[in-house]
Amino acid sequence: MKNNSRANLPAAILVFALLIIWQAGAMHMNAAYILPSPSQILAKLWELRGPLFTAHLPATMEVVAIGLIISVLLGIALAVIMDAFPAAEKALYPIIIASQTIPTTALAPLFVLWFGYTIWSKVLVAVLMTFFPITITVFDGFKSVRREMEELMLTFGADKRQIFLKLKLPAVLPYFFSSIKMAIPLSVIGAAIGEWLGAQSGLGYFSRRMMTQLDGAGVFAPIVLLSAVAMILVAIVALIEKRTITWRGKA
Amino acid sequence: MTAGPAASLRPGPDAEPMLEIRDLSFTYAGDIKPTVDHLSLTIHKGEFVCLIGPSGCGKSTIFRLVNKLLNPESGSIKVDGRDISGRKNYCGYMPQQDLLFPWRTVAENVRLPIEIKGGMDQNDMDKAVSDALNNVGLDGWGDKSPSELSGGMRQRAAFARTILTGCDLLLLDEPFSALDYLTRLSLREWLLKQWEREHKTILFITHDVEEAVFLSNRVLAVTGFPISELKSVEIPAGYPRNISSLSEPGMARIKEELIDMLRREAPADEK
Repeated sequence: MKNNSRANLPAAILVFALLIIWQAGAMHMNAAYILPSPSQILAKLWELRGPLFTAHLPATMEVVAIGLIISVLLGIALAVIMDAFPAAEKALYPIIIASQTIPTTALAPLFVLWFGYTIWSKVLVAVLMTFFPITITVFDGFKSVRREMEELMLTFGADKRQIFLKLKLPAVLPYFFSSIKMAIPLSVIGAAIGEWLGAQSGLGYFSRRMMTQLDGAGVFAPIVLLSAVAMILVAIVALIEKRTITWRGKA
Repeated sequence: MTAGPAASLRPGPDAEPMLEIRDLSFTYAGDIKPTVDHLSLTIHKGEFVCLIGPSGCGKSTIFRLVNKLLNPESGSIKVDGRDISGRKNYCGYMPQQDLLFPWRTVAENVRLPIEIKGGMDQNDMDKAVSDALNNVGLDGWGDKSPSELSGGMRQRAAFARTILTGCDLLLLDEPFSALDYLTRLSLREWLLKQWEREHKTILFITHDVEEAVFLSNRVLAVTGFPISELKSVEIPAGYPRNISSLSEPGMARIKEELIDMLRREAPADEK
């Protein structure tokens, strides 16, 4: 841990320097409705802690959690199916890639039309943004399994199930963790976008409401909170990954 | 030189065949010429036979046909008197790379074949694994990760894993070629000791003539492409052998003859 914090020191210094420049620039400009200073944002965060933490954060986290769970299940299922059946790979892979050219944000109003202001319109946006990196990364993980290792298991008399459980599953785990770390920020963004477009609670909704009131610090405060949540979640996953995968990078 | 392994050095007319290949043919998809063309050969129980030939001549194809990673076009392969079709666990295969799974400890890697075969309880498996590790000189290394082992140790672990397939016929495909020279030398002597203790039949692929002459009681040389026959050369030395056995006049002469033969007919030069 000590080495880790030392390695991050230059980045921390840079962030700190940028914050100081921002603070100085904002104080010079003196127009908080356009560019609030970091200290004003923090003050706003403290001032609004009640509604932010008790109503809007839980609402957003619910969308993020449901969206992530659905994305993980869908992503892994698609990757497993494409790996097991070459025909499924040929049929699905191009569609999955093409699906990413559809601007999800532009589709979101349609989801509001379908699902109304329920949680599902937001979950759908989050899932559409999140399942893709999981599917592709996990599928790449399956493809990276060394053919020679599979052949060795065949000479030991292994069946498909044993090859999957004893070789493919452990080999794909590092890829799975990478995909989750990519997916978390995306699902947070997806949830926030969904809330922007139509919601009655949530950090995205709150940020938009503050905009209509020309409250610059109020727009930023929930965004800071969203970023912090994403970072904490990624850090937790990284910690689990470190505990689980002790062999990464070793042949 | 009278006990166990010595008796197997010169398989007499009544020595039982371990591996019988009859009229075997195989062509890779997309190739016009076959790689293996009506090949027949017999390996007897207890033999240590080296298959030599230049790289890319199709030696490994023969192995892949015997361990069923490839299906022959025609011909038959019998191991221990029975056809291999529909059979499992009749030969142990050890490739050039150790292929130890990095997420398993050394012991868990060695356990893989018996784990796949099933039907053994945890205690028996642990016992078999610790015996196997002991025999290859890796006792105390079972709980380590493969990445903590040296190249030679990894190869010995891979050999222990091959032994635990429980098969009497072992196919070793250039198992030492990725190692440095000195490690290779010591592993050759080590392998002969393993062979004598385990009473296995070993078919060993190499492109190193010296290695072949040192290890085997018989060398099969690939002398053309496609492989339709193998030139069989008996090695006129008993076991145990050590590094100085190679400089005995008989051995040195055979080595030169083999090098001559391979040079003259190396398919790589004809292309």
